[in-house]
Amino acid sequence: MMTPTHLNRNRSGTRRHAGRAVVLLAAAIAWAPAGATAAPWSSWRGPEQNGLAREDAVVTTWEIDGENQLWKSPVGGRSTPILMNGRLYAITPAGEGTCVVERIICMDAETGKTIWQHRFNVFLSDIVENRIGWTAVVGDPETGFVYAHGTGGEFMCLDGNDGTVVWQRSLGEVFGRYSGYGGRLHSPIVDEDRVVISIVYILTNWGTGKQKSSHRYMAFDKRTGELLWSSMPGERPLDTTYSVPVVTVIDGKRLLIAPNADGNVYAMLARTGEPVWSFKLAKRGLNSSPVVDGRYAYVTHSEENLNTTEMGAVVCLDASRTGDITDSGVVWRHDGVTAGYSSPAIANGRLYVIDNSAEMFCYDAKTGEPYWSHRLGRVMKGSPVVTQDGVIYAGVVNGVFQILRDDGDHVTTLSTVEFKRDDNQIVEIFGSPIVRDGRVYFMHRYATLCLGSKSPAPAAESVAMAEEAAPNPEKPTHVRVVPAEVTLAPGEQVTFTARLYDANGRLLGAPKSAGWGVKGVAARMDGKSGAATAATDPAFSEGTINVVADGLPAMARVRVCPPLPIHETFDKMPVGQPPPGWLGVDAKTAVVEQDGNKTFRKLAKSPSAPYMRMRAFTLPPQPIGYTVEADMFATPRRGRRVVLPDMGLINCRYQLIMEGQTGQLLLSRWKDEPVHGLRQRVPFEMKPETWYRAKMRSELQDGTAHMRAKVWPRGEAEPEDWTIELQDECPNLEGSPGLDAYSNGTTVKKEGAIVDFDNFRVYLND
Amino acid sequence: MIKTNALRFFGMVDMASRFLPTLFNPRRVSMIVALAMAMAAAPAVAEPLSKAKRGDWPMWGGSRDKNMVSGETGIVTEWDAKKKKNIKWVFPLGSQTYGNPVVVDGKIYVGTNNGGRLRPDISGDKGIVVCVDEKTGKFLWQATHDKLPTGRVNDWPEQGICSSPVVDRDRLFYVSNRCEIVCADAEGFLDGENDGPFKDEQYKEKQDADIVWKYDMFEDLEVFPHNLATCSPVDDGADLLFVCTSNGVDEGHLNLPNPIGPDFVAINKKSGKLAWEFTGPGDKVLHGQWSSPAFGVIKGRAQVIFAGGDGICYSLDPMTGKVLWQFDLNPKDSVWQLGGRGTRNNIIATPVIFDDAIFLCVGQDPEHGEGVGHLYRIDATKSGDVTESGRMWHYGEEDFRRSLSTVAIADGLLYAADLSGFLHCLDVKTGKPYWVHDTFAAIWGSPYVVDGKVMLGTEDGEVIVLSHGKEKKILATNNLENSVYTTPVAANGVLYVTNRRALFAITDDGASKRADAGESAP
Repeated sequence: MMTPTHLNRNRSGTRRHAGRAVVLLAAAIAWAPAGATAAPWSSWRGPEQNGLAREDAVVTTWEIDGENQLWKSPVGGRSTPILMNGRLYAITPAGEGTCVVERIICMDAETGKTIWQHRFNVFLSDIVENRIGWTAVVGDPETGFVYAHGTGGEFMCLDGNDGTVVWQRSLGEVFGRYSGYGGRLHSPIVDEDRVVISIVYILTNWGTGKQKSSHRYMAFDKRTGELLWSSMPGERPLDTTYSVPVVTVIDGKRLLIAPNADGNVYAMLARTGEPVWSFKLAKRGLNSSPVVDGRYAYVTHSEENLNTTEMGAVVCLDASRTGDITDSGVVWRHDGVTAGYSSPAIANGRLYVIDNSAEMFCYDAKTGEPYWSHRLGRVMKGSPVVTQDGVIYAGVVNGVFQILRDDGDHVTTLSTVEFKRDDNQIVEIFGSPIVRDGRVYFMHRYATLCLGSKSPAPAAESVAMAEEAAPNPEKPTHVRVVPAEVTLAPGEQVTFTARLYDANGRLLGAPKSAGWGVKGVAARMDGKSGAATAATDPAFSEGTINVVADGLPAMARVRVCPPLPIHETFDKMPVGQPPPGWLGVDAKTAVVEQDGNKTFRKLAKSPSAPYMRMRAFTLPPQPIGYTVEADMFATPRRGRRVVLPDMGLINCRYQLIMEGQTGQLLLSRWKDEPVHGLRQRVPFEMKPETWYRAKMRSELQDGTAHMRAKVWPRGEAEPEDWTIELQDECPNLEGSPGLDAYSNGTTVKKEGAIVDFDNFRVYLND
Repeated sequence: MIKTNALRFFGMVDMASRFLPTLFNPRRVSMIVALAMAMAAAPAVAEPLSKAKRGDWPMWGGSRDKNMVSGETGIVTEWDAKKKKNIKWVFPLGSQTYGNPVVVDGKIYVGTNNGGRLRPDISGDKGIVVCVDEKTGKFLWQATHDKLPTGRVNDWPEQGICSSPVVDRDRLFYVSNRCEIVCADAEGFLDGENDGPFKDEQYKEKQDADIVWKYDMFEDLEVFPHNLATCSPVDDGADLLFVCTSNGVDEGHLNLPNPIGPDFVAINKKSGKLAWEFTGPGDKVLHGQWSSPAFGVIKGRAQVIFAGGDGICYSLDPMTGKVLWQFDLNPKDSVWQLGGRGTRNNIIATPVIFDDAIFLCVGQDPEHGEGVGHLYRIDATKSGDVTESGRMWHYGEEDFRRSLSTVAIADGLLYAADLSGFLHCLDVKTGKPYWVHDTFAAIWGSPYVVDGKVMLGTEDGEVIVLSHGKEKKILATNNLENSVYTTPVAANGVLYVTNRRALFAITDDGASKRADAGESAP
């Protein structure tokens, strides 16, 4: 199904792809933007980002394969679809066996027929098969583009018309996204000309800044994928989370309101990421998304509160304030409501909250006075939609789709439909329904359904956000540099621009004066024009481009990565620091010198997993067809037993790992792929304190990735035969070359197993 | 104090050694004492509830057979936490409580987290075992354990201590959140003494725990507890303590950092030294190992029953750790797959010994969702692999789902609950259901039979009370306002229930409401 990609690299490392989409029925369906109907449901919570459908409910009862079910498509998953231009878009798992992948699927909203799908791989992830495809896609009505965040870390912009990839960025290999294993990843939103996505990184980004770990919000130009700003308002992330920010205008200020992985809620200026206020909500990371009504933001969680042993809360905040509003910003709150996954909905001045055990609560949004509560099921992850006439739609994890009516002081159940498999097990519903023009769309584990009557029932116009304040050119308050982060090749030039903003985040244009400088990275800077040129020396370096524009400081992050071929002996790198510009090496590696020779060492002092694991990405993704080599040396931890490390190579999103603990050599793309065909193993007894040389080659032949690797004692002649091979019919077509290590046996009291690397080489296949 | 305690504590062993000087090998002495004790206390077949254990409740399950029944009487059916009806006292705990109360010699022990700041000077996330005065509900002392710096994969945030202590006179034994086996003095430091050999307590104020010894499984056995070490130890009635190490997978869920175990150990209660270790599941551990063991003498053969992380129930020789028999609870065609679709399971529940058989069901981390489950009656009199020959009955597939709950057996009836919220009443002989009740809420705790009633706590914070019998009859639904992830316990005429954040002592108001029982409900 996949065809090789033509990769073109532009200056910010963005790749433009063509021809990867599988167009099934494109010819049959003419692409015509819909006429003057209401706003599309182009983001998972709807046009007003709050679960409100501005229409009267049409569907109040239905039956599986019967009454009011307009169509059913065998496209199942964990996500929430979106509706734009008469089409549904969603991310779902797809395929079988070794070709279990994720896909962006486009369906005809009238019939449920698949129009196109774009399949892409899961790779180098601890996330298990059952939890892939858990993010939600977002559409941009202006361009017709659809944006998606995949489990492997690809962040992509597709043309909604035919599924062509417009641009894509590798969040893992370029921005250090940490995936965790729980499957909780962030979903993008679109605001004006920006698409905003956030990531958690934990010792996985490049550069040794103050924040080794953070929840980072990034705004990309929605047309080009260029990074416009990134913001890290929070503290150390406590969990991997999936709360989706919302955009709102309060007191003339366009804000991004974002519950964070550090347990706090932040407001940032939507155009610059500049922090406006913070609210300390919980002792753990936040997953549910906020809703906003006027100047009030509503947030919920199910974790530890700061001042009570009651877990969870629903809080109404005055979002018009600034600074730390933990004490001053509370309008009302109820502690003890454990609504940590499902996000609230707001309609007709009433707030609807569903807790983790699927009990639903209705409150007066202004006062917090509770009206009623009602049990929907046992476990809740998805979020409800409420129509303007008070009908509530909600899918419960334990396979129940509920339709209810808010009758003021109580709620009335209109319909309860339970999905069961043939073997009587439940059919889980993780996503949320969407409601548009009288129709209800939702997804369960095995299907997407459309409920509604045959006759259209147009929705009312959405209520636009409040007016913004006019720009104040007299009072610039901060500057942003674009691109905000960039990877350069030696000799490559890029011109940075400084943009001036006022206190409300309104763009004031270019500064009158700007003085540019460079720090750390090997580049020359034209002090006046903002043009930077990377040094021609083919060496890794990292740093910042700095500007003082109209008296205001700003910077952009810049690294230089040499082109292939690379032969890194580490001899020119300073001792005691990790290699510059490499991702995944911060605070756990260093170049060391022994007997006059320098090596790159995976240290093993800290016992927690982010320190024990190193997945080093050395370059931006390269097209398939290259070879990685390195020398490796294991220093075991001796104690009750000899504990050896894991160590290996990464090539094109496949990893070769010498597993010291299991005595095996592993070659894999994604360890939890269900049939384990992408997880080849051969016996391999690692000897401690022995230099090995490992070599790994990626090659695309007839649409199949042929991965071949060998390991041999350094100093001996290279064996002719490959030690281990893997063929992947769903090939990765690109990926960053890198090194992998795991310091097994690190405990509180004992230093774990150490790995030294030397003679790291990456070159195009002979 | 140390002398009298030690004498009382080790008196039995001393006596045995006097009579059997040539046999003074701790293992053998322990064996003899254990056999004698266990046989004396061996439950009669189909023992009626009226003959069940009563008085103190000295360990998880109340006795070594782990049967969730109590012979206490006068236990109330209804109470109201808000209006303080039939509430003797309320003791505030942390924000999450998974430990079950243990009641011995006027003291109650329960594991929780540090959300409640019971010792106001100690802040931050900790594992706590708190000791409360049984009569008054007043705080006596607490054991405080810092979190492992290795993070959530070994010691999940805010989960506190899940292990329930086993108490032997003035010593209690539990597993800390740091994967240590801890022996502590029942008096804490309130007796003004620091009992040893361990004297280097990190927290040593008057209201802190006096730790007698610690065995660090994480450092010394190099096991890798997945998410949390949770085992509630059981002893053999003499000087051996049996503990599951909780060894499991790493944060990626597919790799076992320590594939050679051990999975299960015996420790000398007196010395804190390792007696033997057992690796059975080894590299076959699917996820973690969170079950707790049972101990009994079945047809003259002493057995410690350990539910492994490979889904296999092992009966081990308490003296040597050698396998007597093993039984695979997973069907041959089952598939390990994370999430609701997987049909291969772990075992979270505790095995129950009753009528020469083991009663045990499969389950998974609730985070993995609901799924198909199995409950078995296993013949414990055979040897070797008894997966086929020892299967007396099976209840499951469509009828029974994944479960964390331990069964309760009384008067020929067996009660079992599943995560999906169903309470099942089965014939203990045949495994045929009499009735099933849907609580409409997730169940983590176990059904508890006492005083003609079956009680069951739910995630919704309710304790449902049904009539103990072949007919389904709901007697009461008591609202505790906050999730009940634990199992009720009856001791000395009082019912104890913890919700996530408080311990409630529940008794008939008319009986003996004390004037000083004035803790306000949190």
